Amino acid sequence: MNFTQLDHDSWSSLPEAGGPPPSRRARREASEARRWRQRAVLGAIVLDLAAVAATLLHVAGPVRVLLGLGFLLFVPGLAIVGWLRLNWPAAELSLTVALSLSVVLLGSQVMLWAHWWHPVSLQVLVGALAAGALCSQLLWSHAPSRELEDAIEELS
Amino acid sequence: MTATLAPESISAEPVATRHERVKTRQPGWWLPLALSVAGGAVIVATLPWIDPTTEGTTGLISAAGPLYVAGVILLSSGFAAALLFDDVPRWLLGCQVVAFVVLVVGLGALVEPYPRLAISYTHLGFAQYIGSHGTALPPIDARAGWPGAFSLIAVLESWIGSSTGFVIARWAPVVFDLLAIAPLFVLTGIVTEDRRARWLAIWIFFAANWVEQDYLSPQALAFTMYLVVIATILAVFGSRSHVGHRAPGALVRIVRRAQLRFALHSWSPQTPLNRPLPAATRGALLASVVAICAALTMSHQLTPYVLILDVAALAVVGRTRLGTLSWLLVLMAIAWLSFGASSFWSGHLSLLTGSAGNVTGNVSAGVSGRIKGDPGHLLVLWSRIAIVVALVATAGLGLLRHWLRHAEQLWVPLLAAVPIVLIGFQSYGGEVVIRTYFFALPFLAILSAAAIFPGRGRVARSTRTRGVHAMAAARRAIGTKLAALPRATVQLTPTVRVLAVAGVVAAASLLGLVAHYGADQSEQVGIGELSALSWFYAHVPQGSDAFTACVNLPWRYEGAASYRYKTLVAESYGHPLRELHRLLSPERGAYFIASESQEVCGEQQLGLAPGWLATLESSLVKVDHATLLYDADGARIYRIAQPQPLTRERSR
Repeated sequence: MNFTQLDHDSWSSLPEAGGPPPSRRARREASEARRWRQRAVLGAIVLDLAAVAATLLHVAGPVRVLLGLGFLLFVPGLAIVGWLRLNWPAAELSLTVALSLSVVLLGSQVMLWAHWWHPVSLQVLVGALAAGALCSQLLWSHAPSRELEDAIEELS
Repeated sequence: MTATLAPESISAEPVATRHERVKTRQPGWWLPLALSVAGGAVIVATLPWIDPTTEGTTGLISAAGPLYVAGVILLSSGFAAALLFDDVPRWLLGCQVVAFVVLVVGLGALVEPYPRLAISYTHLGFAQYIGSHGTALPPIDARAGWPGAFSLIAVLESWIGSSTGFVIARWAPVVFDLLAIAPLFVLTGIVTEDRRARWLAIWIFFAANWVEQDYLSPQALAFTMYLVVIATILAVFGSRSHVGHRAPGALVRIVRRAQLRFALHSWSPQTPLNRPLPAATRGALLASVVAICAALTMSHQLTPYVLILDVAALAVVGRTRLGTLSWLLVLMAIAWLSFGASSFWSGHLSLLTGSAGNVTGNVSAGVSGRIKGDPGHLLVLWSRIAIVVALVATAGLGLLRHWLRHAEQLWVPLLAAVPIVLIGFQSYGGEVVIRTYFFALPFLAILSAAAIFPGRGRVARSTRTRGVHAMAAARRAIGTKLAALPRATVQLTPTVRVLAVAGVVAAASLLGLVAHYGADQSEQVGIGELSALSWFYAHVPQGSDAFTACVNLPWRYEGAASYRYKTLVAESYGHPLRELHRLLSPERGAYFIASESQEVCGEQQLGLAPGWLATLESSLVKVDHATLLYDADGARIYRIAQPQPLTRERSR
């Protein structure tokens, strides 16, 4: 088995090919990072639903500002980047933000070209698609990848 | 001082193994934590007492007071101590940088109740137009051809239920700065595995970022995307070795034949992404990069071209296998220019090409043309120049130290140098030098951090060519000569070393604060101006001409296309009436808006005599029988019903 292809969340402790096997600490960090990803996805789902609800219910105040901003910055991007499992939190975060902004920006441009300016509908649409993608990520992430199972089995 | 110092901090002590470091671990990390917490607490406690309206000609720091400065010194000292002490918690450096960004770099947003910088209001006006009309902007401005960021702001305004968007504009600098941290951390991770070097580079980036391009603007959005694209290209599509050997391009062949390849990508630390990724993941990442580039192309005039140059440069030196992306970016930029922004350039082609090749003029417009104003403003300008010079000097030192330790990655100085090309093509409204510095800043910061934490690299086996051996010999020779130089015989105690480094970091932070917020007296927006403009939009009929004397009036946040907004150019301040009459329509008349911040702007940044605006206003009243319609809180609105013909005497 190739240890460099582990579905591994701790890159700093990844062994080079032919090097020593991953330590117990690496396994612990991998499972910890997996839990963190699940929490992030769960948080994004909650944020998604809360932001859409706040817009539809015309909630006023700073809570709606934070929800709207959080939705814009994280929800659409995480729905895409979460599938990639890059195992580098900083790279995942930066791609999440840039993709979120890009998706909404491209969506707003399409609305302008189509002369159909309905930003609330855009939020509902993006929110629904993202919620579906995030929920499926959450379900999928409970099943450990084949490489990780192999690694754990080999270590044990 | 009981704590151990990090082995690679400044002195050339032998690098301890991790085992040795763990063995000698002592509970010293509480000191940086305590300093940072104390600094943060002092700053937070000081904020309610900072009154921006009392500031002097050196800007916000003059209103911040000694307690705030003490807080910045403590916070910076905590960061410096965390860099020097070994075994600080992994989260500490990151938290310190975030605290620095929010409490020091974001000071303006924290203490000023309204968004800073008048131009933010113009951008809000463009977004408001899109939100209320549901169509793209008419060609009222060059920026109207790149409406991506404005439509995004319009969408966000709708989502958060904000009618004016002031809350977005106020906090935009803090948000954009925080968003830049993650891609910067990825970029630094491609250069070094040393977390201290990575966080120091990010700290330097923010301390030296006085250009203030983080306000609510297309360029702030585009810069965030630019960082992510560059980081992804380098991290994922960085090396040809991961996809097997491919026929190199002609330039790469030439470079290789010249045996310079050793110097172009000799070494790269292991990152999670420079391992073979599944094809589907690579495809999805490529699609993501293309989507981000498309959004970026629709948002900003300049950034796509910097990205094209960067990607092309990386492809030429073999640092990325995504050379075709630069062609795709060219196609996207041309396509957008042809279809999306054609209404702009078809009438203003000279703006695009007029300053091409005029390097001297472009530099002069960006540097020497701006060094004027009162002594306080000159101090601010010279502090900015000092930061640039110091950064370039330390970046050069960092490059040398990288090279001596086989840790150099020449894509870093390459990307720092590439934006200089811009100076040859565009003056960009006299801002091209500033923009060049801004695009070079992340890479200069990485190199500057390497001056302190150079790391240690190795030469990849595949690049051990004849040139490598020659370079190794040169390294040995220079290293030997440097080692033979006489060294200071004074042995610094750990306490003195910590204090010295803390002093340097704190001084750099404070200098950055002066440079960043030095012009705040004319850049802040007061309630007086906003009240006057609120009155203006409520009472002045649409279609009227509106004039102002300086560019720092926070207008256009509504009715962006409903009025004809005109600003007297700085060159005309000597004969303002003549210029005003050239712009005025004899049939319609106009409204003239004056405020205290414009008076300050003219005095500080243009070196005009005190009272210049009052003289202009009295001339308007005397010559053109202008009527004062509004006068409150330092802002005034005049109605010029019908401009009188201007005689030679009157024009004076």
